[in-house]
Amino acid sequence: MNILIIEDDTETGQYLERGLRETGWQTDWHTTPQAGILALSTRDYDAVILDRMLPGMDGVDALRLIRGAHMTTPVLMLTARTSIDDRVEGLEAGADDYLLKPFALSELIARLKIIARRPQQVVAQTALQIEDLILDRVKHTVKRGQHLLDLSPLEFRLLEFLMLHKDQVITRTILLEKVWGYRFDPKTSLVQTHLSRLRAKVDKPFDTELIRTVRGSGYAIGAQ
Amino acid sequence: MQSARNNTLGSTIFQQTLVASGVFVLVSLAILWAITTYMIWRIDNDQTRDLQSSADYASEVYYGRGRDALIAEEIADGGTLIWTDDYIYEVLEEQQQLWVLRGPDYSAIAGFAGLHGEMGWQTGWLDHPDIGQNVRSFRVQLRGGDTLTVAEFIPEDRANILGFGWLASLALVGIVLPLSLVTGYVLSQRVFRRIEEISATAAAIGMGEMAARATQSPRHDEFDRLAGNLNQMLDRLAALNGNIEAVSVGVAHDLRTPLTNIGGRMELIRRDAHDPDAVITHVDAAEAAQSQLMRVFDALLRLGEVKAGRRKTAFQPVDLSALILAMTDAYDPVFTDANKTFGADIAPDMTIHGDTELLEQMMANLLENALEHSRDAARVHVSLARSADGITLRVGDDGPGISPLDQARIFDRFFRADSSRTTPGNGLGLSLVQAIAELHGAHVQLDPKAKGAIFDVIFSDSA
Repeated sequence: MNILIIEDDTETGQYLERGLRETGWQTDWHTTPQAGILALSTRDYDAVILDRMLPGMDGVDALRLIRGAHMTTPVLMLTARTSIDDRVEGLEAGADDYLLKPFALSELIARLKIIARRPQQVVAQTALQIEDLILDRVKHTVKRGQHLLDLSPLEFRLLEFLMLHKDQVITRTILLEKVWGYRFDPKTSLVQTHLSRLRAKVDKPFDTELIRTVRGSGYAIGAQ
Repeated sequence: MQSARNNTLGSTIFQQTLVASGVFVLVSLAILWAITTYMIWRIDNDQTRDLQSSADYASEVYYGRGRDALIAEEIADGGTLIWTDDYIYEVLEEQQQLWVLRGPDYSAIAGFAGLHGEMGWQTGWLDHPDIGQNVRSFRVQLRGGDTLTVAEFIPEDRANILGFGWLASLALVGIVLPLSLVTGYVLSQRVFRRIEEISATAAAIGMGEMAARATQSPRHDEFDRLAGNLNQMLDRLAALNGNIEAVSVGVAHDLRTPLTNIGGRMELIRRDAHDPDAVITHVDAAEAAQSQLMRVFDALLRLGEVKAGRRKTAFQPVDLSALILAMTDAYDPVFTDANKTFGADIAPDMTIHGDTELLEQMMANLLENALEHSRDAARVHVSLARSADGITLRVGDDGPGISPLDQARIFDRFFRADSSRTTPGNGLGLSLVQAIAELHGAHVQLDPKAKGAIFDVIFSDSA
């Protein structure tokens, strides 16, 4: 993937560049919104990481400029922890996702993968399949081999989201946001509890485990 | 601090009373003398006009028909030529005026000889043994040294009016002015004393005596209202101050532990640098401590944001029933895993005006509070129903409950009951519940009689 970073803080910039390159992605890093927008108009990127606080221009204003110029590259905004209202403002200005500083690199990468430009055929699929696990999005049924699995509506949505992002690490916070719609961080093991129930139904009775825990990051679904 | 009495004379209110009474007396005097002068002028004017016309008429007769005609027709008029002291009374019965015609040697030819006067206008007395009343006279020159003097008594009213004018002036200056000064002094002293009390309270607060409060009289006047408002403000400030202190101590305490952990893990990483597995363990632990820190910050920020009321602009209709139902569904397995029974009784279609995200946070905090602080195998129950006051959301467990000592403080930031020190948490959860409820015009209360901890969030209809 090809990522454009617009971030004025040297330490964060270096951290992002190093972390993303280790993942095997290409990055371009600019410290001013002007240089960043110029780069965006001349090269093709899969996603943009845009800092909220930039010298001379608010990140939200920069984003409005980008969207105003009909550049549809997915944008993930970074912001210091000041106000939840910031997030609403950023999303309204056209950001695809939003992350509070400080953040874990794994969380950032997981989120970038979700928003990055990719062939859209996955979304249109009416049935999702991984190995012998088949989720029918129309009939709302899940089958593993010949066995029909009895999932609660929540477990169905959880599995559907994981399967839509096959082989990607999905963090706890992403699941909370996308599946439950919760923007807060529960102290309890809300996600873990539901995930373990889902795994008990999807994986436990069968030979191969499809859902796996990614240490310290989240979950992923896919053949081993 | 100077005494109140010494300051009274210099106080603004006294000075203003002084100026006001001065102006009042001056204006009164001006009006009084304007009226007096006008009335006297009217009297004098009538009299001079009478006298002038009599003198004119007499001159006309004198010049037209001669001196003797004047004497015979106008002065003697069938009576005596020279008016004696007694005859005066007869004349006065018929007319108001006294006349005297004198020859060139000033001897009286006709009329009353006791009427003296220089040429032109004059006021004076009659030369008469019994009549002491003042007269106004007008003396005109006739032919050959003859002069005619006409006179009228000055009405007693004139003197009365003048006397009244002076008396009233004297009363104004001598009685009203001192009286208003005394009233002003007494009033301003009273006001001053009340203000001085309040001012002394403020000064004491300024000197750091935070417990000082203005005294209130049972009269409930404007000063009591001022003192009451001041005290209320001070109480609120004191509460806020106490809150800030508690928050500072809480923040310091809550941050110290994870920070110490992170520092310790850093040291261990340096020591175990050769052992990748150990390093990973340390990094995991440091990350956990760091996320604990962030959680405290997030909770504080959100609390601040909610308290500031900024989110209220984004309020919209929220289906509370659906929201609570979704959350109880989500948390049900968590309770089951924690070996606690969970039940919900949600009335449908309860809608309020609010912020979905914050309401979810509030519900989550209540559920997590019940999850963490209820006894093993407790029964946790959630209900949403219409009540007399509005819509009541109840989250409760059946034990062990909250000790009466702690009940008053459970909503304070960073407060944690001793019994819950061992469980994870930062003491901000219920503060946030309360803040979010208040933002929605709702009221949170703990059922003090219940065996377990039962929280009611009451969304009143009027809010």
